[in-house]
Amino acid sequence: MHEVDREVAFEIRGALAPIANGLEILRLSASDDSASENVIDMMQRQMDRLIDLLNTRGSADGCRLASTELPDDVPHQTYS
Amino acid sequence: MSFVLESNVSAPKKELPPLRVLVVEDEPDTASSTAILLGLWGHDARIAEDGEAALVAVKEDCPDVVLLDMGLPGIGGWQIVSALKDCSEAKKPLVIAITGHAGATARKRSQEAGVDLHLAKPVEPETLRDVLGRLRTVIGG
Repeated sequence: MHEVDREVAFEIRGALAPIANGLEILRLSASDDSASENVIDMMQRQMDRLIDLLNTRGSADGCRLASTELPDDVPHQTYS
Repeated sequence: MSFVLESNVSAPKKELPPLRVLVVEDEPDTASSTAILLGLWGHDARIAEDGEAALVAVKEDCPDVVLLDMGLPGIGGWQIVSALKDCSEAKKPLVIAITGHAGATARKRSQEAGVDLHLAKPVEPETLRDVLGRLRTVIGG
């Protein structure tokens, strides 16, 4: 990925972080209002489009990282 | 009828204590929205807006989890992870790096710094909720 693209991708990811949080907060605190639900779903879809774009573009240069990638188990041996 | 009786006598679901989560993030909207979400999930969130504040917070009381923006100006994520090594072994926090750098290099850097989990921004809230939920069960269960 070109250096400028990389910087733009970094900034877009940073801006999407509070938007993703905000959508979840709205979901958890919104009343049962179908209009609000539809708008929240719409915003989520559009945000997912942007994330897909970032992940797909990155993959061409071998730097894709799924934001959902999880290890098999959370390291917890220090807590037991 | 017996079903109703059975459901009445079943043990109440054990209330797990909240996780103490330190959010290290210099972008105010990201920091506050993360803290609100953590609160809605039943955790205690505290924000450190830079590396210095993070070090002070850790010195005062080691949290259960640190959500760490690795790209902080000044004292960076790496130094904060190092400081966490001073926490006693039993209280060692789970360190989750949350960063706009989604590449393999950033991931490797996190791993070398001693980060437990590296997530790219924007983190799916569900993912974070599940990881914290699992940890909560381990600590409180």
